[in-house]
Amino acid sequence: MSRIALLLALGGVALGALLPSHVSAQGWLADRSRAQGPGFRVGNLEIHPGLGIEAGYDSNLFYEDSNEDSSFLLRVTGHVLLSTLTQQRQDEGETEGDAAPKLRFNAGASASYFYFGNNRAGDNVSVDGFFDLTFNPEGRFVFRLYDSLGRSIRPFADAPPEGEAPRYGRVSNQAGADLTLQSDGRTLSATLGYRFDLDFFEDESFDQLNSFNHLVSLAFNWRFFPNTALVSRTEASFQNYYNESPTEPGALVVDNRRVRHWLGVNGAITDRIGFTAMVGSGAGFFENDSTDDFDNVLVHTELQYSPRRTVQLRLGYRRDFRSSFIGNFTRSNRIYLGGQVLVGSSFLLGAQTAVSFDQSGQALDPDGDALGNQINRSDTRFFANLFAEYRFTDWLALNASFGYTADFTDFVFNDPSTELTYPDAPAGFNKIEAWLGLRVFY
Amino acid sequence: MARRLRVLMILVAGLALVGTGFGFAGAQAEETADEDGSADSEAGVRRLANLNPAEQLAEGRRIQEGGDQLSRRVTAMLDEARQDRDIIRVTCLNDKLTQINANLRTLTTRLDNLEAAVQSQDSDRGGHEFTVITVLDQKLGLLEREAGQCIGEDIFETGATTVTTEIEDGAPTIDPAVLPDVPRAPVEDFIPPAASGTS
Repeated sequence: MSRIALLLALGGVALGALLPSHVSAQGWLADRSRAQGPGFRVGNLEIHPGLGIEAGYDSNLFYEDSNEDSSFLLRVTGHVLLSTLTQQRQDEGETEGDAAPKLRFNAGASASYFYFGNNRAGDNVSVDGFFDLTFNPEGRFVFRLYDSLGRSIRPFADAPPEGEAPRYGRVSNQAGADLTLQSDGRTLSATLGYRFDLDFFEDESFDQLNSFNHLVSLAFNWRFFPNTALVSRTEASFQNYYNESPTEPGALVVDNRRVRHWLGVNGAITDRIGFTAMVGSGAGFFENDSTDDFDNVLVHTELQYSPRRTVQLRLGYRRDFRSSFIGNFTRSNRIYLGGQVLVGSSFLLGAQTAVSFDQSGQALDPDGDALGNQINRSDTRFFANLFAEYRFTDWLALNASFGYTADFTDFVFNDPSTELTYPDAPAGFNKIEAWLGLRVFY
Repeated sequence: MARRLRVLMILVAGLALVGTGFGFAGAQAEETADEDGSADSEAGVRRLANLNPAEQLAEGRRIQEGGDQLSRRVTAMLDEARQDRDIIRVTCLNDKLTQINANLRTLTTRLDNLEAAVQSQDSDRGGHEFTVITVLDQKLGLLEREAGQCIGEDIFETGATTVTTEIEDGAPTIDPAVLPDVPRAPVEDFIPPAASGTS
């Protein structure tokens, strides 16, 4: 890599560190392989800019059970992605020599301006940025640095029936480093990782939910033919709600430690069928004597079928747990089904759906009283999304999506004995969201 | 008319005879060429058989000298193979050298016998000994070719190898070290709504 290219790469790292990024990337940006066009090549780097405008409709802006606020939406998104030469360019012989690259770099930034037709939600800008830098990716020792920082602005909870809604800005950051030791051909590999997470709510009414999280992980892979691996994943999370104050009303969350271990097989059975079969155990320890800890079995199975390169189908089941803002943790049993098909190299049609049977830990208020009519809140959550994109050229595309999200629950918040009041006592909701847009990209 | 017919028949017969003659001559030429190789060797044998006793003795000594040179050459090849620690070639050359030296010892004995027969003017015995010497000469020639064909470990040792993996179209492209993501809803965790009066 030339010195100029290296400077550009490091500049991109700085840019990625300064500009926000997160997994909440909007629409087609969530799949970065779709966002990229032919790109501009600058030395050993390639740059992919893009701009999109979309119009949409949200039937339930604030996730209400009744008297929903719907809204017309307008979203204008610009993005730029930067990387060292991708595999496609390498395969097409654009690299010099066969030497393995010593540095692999990805970075990107995007910003989306949202216009809400409903006056209760003010216009806002979400941003997203990331960088991922890998040193010596094909060597014996591999070192990776990454950061993903983002600001989402879409409402995530009920708003008071009248008046101005709270600010729904939420800033999240994930920064980490991985050290991998691998054998020649990557038959055996072990990765030790550390990640620091920040979850920050901009509105003061949510500030007790702000948290830090330290994640330490250890991964082992043993690859074998045809293209399969015995995999082991162990991770420990240490979450700190730094604004937590049990004496204050609204403190529903406590510091916790969560440990997971997975062991299983992942890969291909034939050239058309892939599978994942993982089993493990998880435990959560919460610094609150009045609530349960978590200790249970974890499962993740998935079957993937690709009858041809342009058709991909998947069916899976995952039993897992996560930290929750109600009841400290949520145990979920999720079944999901998805697929996508590419027709004529220009039309992409995809669908994914999931149903999740969730149960929280003991949902208590700060006084130790039940938060609602169920000690353990139970939800059946459903999610379905259909998306399509037609590419007129390799730089212009029309895209559309239609999604339905629902939460079916009998949980009802109790009349508060404290100062807490909830604007929408029933906790379920139904929400339809549709988008149609045009984007240019290169 | 009859006269013209007779003349024509004579011409045809003449042409046929000339053609047959050329064909026979051509076939004979080909046969002669095919037999050149064996003819040369037979001529050599006849030439050796026609040698007088003194010439037989000189020819025998020439064969012995050639055998000694062959033994030295194969010994040098054997030393070189030993220095290379090429056990396969050492074994092969050692076997050939043993046979060469055994034939040389027989050759020396037969040459002494030939010399004695020449001195006693016993042509029958001399002819027999010389025939044996020529057979030994042929055997030494065969062993020389076999020693030259002794191959070593370099045929079997491939040295440093590299493995090139060619992936067929349609082969699995899944990276088994990467676990699949699970589809997630836009709002994964239920975040409690803001309490009134605090917003």
